[in-house]
Amino acid sequence: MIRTMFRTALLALTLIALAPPAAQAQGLAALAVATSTSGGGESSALREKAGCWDCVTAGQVYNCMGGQVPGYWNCSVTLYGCNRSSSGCGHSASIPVDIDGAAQYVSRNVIRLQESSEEPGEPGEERNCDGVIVARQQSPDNIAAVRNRTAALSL
Amino acid sequence: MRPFLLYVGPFGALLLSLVVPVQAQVCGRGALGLEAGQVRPLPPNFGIQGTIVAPDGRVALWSAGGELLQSVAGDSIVSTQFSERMVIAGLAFGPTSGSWRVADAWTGRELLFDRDGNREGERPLALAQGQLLEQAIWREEGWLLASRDAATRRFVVVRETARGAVPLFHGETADSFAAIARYHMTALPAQLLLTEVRAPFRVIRVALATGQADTLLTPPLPIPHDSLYLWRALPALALDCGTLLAVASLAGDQRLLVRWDATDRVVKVTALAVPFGLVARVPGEQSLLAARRTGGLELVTYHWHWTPDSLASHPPDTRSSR
Repeated sequence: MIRTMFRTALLALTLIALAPPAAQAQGLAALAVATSTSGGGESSALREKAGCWDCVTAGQVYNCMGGQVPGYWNCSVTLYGCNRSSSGCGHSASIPVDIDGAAQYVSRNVIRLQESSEEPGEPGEERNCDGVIVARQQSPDNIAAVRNRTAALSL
Repeated sequence: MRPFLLYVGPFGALLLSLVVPVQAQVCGRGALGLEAGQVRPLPPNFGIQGTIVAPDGRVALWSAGGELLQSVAGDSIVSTQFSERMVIAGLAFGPTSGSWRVADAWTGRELLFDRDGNREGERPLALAQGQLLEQAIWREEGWLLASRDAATRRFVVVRETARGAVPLFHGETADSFAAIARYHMTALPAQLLLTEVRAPFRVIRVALATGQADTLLTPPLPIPHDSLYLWRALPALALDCGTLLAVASLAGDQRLLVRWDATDRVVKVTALAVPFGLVARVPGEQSLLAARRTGGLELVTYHWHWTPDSLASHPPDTRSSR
């Protein structure tokens, strides 16, 4: 009986240790967001967001943490360390994504707007979890300003 | 009239002898003026993956999705779509009028298409196993192929020749495949410019004949350290004298334009706050193509000229060999 209880407890402990710590990860993500936004001086473009996960090393210790930039992956922690598991919310940003004219020129991947973050940026723009503009609307004043500023350049 | 010309001739020659050296001094050292000319609207959500400009001024741009835009008769833009599934790493105007030569990163092969989009030939590109093709530029003999090498974890450039593939450049060994530093290629008549996509945005010049390389060091740019990961370099362009590089923030409209003079000294770093970027130089002309967003995406032709600028500063030499 005692041996059975011991085996059950050992099995439970092993499962706890091996299971992807979803709840713990979410907690870390919230912590990361709170930390990153506490600076006050950071722009919304630099704000780290929940769901951008990746493996983080601190000395010999590996951990799966949210709020990582770039956070291309989801991950999980096991007895053997941190493992990347799948593409995370920042996956589309691993390759620069920007339909903003010039920066788009460095794009090396198909634009996937549907993977962008739900977190709102400034009115008329949408950013992914790395802070990259993935969609925007320009006002008539802004359009006129762009034309005016780029009509002649002195470099 | 003739006596007048004979009379003016010696003075004209004297005048030319004075003017030409002045222009030579100004070129690359004065201010570079860019004047916007022709503006061609592009489809709003077109993503410029690559651009080629023919000596006769024809322009072709392609997207990652295989959509091809061509300038026709100088003004209008015509859109076509390759029907085959491929990832265009490089495109070239084909061996016959209207045909296309494609370096396909999906298959690692060169594909030839006729003017109607029918495939009329193919061959393997000079890629080793485990090399992921990033960009290809056609030269007379074959392609310049830039790829990330999984085996060595390095960025490599090879040149296809009649004798086979000739290695031209390899970057530093990275910790992982994903961490391999990537470069844009810009082909010049006798050289290749490699622009590091991420900081420190080095511009490496490689001699096509020998593979000898030297680096135009990019000066420290006014970018906050904590946002450096959001900045990308666009391909550097070679001017008639000097080099021009645009570095763009993916998180906004901030752009930095770095200009080196003909002696490889950084002359000026210009900050702009507009969605704008340099795309390509028009061969044989003092003009270049740029993209800007004014609601939709536009391709703008800029003509450049040099003007004296006493305010141009010359920081210490930033050239190094590697």
